[in-house]
Amino acid sequence: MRQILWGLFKKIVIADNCAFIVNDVYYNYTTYSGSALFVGAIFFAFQIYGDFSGYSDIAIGTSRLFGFNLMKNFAFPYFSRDIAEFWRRWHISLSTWFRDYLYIPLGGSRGGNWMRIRNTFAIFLVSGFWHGANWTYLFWGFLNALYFLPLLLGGANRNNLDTVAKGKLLPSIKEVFQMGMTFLLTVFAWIFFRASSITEAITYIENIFTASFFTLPTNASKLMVAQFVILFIFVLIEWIQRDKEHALEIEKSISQPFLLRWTFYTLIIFTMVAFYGIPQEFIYFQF
Amino acid sequence: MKGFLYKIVLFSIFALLLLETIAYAYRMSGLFEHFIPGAEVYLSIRKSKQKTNSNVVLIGDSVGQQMFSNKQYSDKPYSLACNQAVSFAGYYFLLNNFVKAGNEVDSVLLFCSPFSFDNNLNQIFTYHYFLKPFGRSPYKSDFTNTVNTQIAKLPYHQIASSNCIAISKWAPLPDQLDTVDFSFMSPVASEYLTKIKRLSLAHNFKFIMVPAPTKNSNKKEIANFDKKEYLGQNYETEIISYFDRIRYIDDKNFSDKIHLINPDLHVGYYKETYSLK
Repeated sequence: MRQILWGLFKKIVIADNCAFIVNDVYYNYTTYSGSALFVGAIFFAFQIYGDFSGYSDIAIGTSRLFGFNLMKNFAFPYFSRDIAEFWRRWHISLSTWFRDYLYIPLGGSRGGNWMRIRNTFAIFLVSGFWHGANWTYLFWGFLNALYFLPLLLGGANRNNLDTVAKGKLLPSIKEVFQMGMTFLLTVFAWIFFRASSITEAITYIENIFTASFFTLPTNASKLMVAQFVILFIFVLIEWIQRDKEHALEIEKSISQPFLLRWTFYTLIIFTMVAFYGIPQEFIYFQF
Repeated sequence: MKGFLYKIVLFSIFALLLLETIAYAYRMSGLFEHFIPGAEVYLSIRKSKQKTNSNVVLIGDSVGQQMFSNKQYSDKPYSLACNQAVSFAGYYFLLNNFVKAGNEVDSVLLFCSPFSFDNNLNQIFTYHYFLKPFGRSPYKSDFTNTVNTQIAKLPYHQIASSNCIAISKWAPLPDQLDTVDFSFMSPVASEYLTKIKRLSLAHNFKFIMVPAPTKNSNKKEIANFDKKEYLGQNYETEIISYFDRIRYIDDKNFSDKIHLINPDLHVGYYKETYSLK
């Protein structure tokens, strides 16, 4: 039930509210300031995460109610220190499928660097194509494969297998930098994923890197401020729970009595009541 | 299984009580007003309860709001205009608040489009714009039978005053559109125009109905409005004068049936005509 609740929260508070701003930004990307476009790109990263991982959580939680255990599909991917870790934590079921039915049959990592690079590009291009017959998805896949390249060449693609800052409250400065960079790289790639054409994505990116990047977003509103506050709290909760199955997996203990846990769940419900966004269809319904 | 169900029931009761308490605090803070449809209505309600130095107050619909924004704190006029969806009942409640706040009113301008009279609290936005803000004390006691009847037709009207519903963006859609048997003046509009007129007599202020600029192409439709719907009412003089003074202008000035593309162009005329300078 808690996993369903968290999934609903991610969908209707995080994804749907971000969608409202993202749709507006992408609709007006030729007129909005660089800062507004940057915020739009960040919000899309959260929209797609909230939408798809929320959907997965609802499905996993519902299945568990009926006695079925489905595999975990997201493992706090935005806390990844490199792109390889990100792909081990994002859409795990699809990544696993590609690994088992494409990467390994193609030879996997057995044939040296060249084969690993070829196979990595193959699965990312197919993954892009899997999302739709559009150059934007293909380029998004290509971009992700490109991000992988330095890790493959340096043999560093399996450096970060553990949870970041395991057992610690805060990450080190190095980890913050790594997570920030990985997040920005994914945000950059998502621009191609969200845009309706490559030209639109390139214009969008060009318009970010203008002098208006250093001004207040053209579309700044109370809703945007509220959404930033909610996103901050959301990231904080996910950070604290990052080594759990899902963010609402709170153990029963003396330090966390049921009244405290129930109050926390009720606060989540309250946020859903007060800040739910305009209902949007799940993004992944189209794929 | 039994234990699970027991826990669910217990948690539901706990959550409902706590939710309503948190929602109450949130509603009292006024923060919710920025995130739900009809923010302009809550602003007008807050403004209507303030003691001001202004003695010219303007109530009315969104065209009135376009020309005399309620976001501006001007004395002449002190604008409480918000949206036609609040209906004439809403205009009356705002004006009544303003009078009750101890303001000395000289004149009240009711600025609206000729198409705003037909709101019989039967619109898609009635739940959001009327029931949520006004469906509670102290307004509820001033509901006419017609208002009560119309409200009773709205699905889930019973829970509209709950704090959780009041602070949320949620509102049900009407099951079916209410059928009407009037040409332009709804019973709700007529009853509350009567109340506004009575208020003006009781507090000795001028009550002026101001027509919004109207499309040339709507002239015929307006000419066909059934006059019987207002003849003999206590506001008859005001409404006859209202229709006499309608300014019909080119359709190109409008973004839809009633809203102006550039409202500022027309403000000067109203300031001049109604001595609002």
